[in-house]
Amino acid sequence: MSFAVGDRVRVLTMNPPGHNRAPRYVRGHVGEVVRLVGDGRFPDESAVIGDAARREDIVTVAFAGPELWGPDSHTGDRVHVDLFVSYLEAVGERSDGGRTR
Amino acid sequence: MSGAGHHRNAELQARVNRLLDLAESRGVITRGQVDARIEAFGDRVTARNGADMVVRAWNSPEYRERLLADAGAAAAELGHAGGGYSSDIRLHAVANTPTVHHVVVCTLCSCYPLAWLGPPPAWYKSEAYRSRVVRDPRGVLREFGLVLPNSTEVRVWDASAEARYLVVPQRPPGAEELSEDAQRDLVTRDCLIGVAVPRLPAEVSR
Amino acid sequence: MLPGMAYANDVGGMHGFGELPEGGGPTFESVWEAQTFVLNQAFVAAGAYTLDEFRATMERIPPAEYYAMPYYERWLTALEHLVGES
Repeated sequence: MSFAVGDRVRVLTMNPPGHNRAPRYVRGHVGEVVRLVGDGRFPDESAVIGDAARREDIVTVAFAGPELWGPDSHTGDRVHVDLFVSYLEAVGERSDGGRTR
Repeated sequence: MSGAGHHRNAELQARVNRLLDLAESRGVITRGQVDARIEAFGDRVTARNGADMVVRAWNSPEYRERLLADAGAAAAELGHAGGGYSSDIRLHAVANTPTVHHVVVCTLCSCYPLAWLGPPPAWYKSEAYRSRVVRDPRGVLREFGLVLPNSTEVRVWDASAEARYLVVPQRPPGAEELSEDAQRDLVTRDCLIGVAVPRLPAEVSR
Repeated sequence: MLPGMAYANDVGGMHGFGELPEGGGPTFESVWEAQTFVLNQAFVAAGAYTLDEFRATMERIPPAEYYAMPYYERWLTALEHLVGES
């Protein structure tokens, strides 16, 4: 799966038993891809099989404060989290009108 | 330190001594090399490197552009090479503007641009900072003495994967009259993490 | 493997950790902390284990023990485990 800057994404709701680098506070939440970071070893695998782990793309996702913390959060504030793409699913309409999923 | 504290510290030191021996016997690193690295954190691998990059960006729009496009390469230009854990780790610089303020954290562990700034301060690694700054950045910044107006948007960067973040603060008005050395003194480690902004000493401001 | 699948490290958004520690303190309070820091870098660089294996091992320290440990004791505990010293 690959994403472009501007895509809306949701972090999967998940509770894997092993190592995982999607912080709990963003799981299930929707944000926007703002930057492509490049790739890295997929941590869930790298924690078990080391350097034999597959490589995967990482994107920076910006979450609006209220999306994560509710109405008390400042509406203009954002939290950026770097996430491996298999932690994410595409959501909603793209600006070109086509559905991504 | 209390007597119990001393005892505990000695116990931990003894455990580390065993690992130092093991590392040397396995050819991983010698005690001398360990000492040399620790010494580098005191002089060469420090937040001065980040300050160097910021001040160059303040004074050269071309450097600023390169810094924001590829911070690792821009750091290397000034002799501040990366290194550390893995070649997958790359630096990214984010610049404050009159309406946007950046602050960096790692909520899952304590990822930090250590190859460029040296090891992180104790508060950066604390659960208190890591738990709160994503939820209440303005409250945390206020505790650091940084009060942001409502019109400024806060961008928190949670370094959860291979990127490490460096905040490029704004140059305070009046600082352009200072030498580059004096400008570097304004850019503290806390400014590079985003919990402070550079301030002119009162006697220099006009 | 240390028991349990605790994620005591995943603290973003949690309440109750209290005041921030003082800002001005040294990066390392004792020599063993700095040595632990450098040793971990060296073992990772030598390919003894990956940073993710290190993090995963540290995360599996049971939460009550994890929070009671000084920061670099968590590192030390994980390191000992990974190089077969525990």
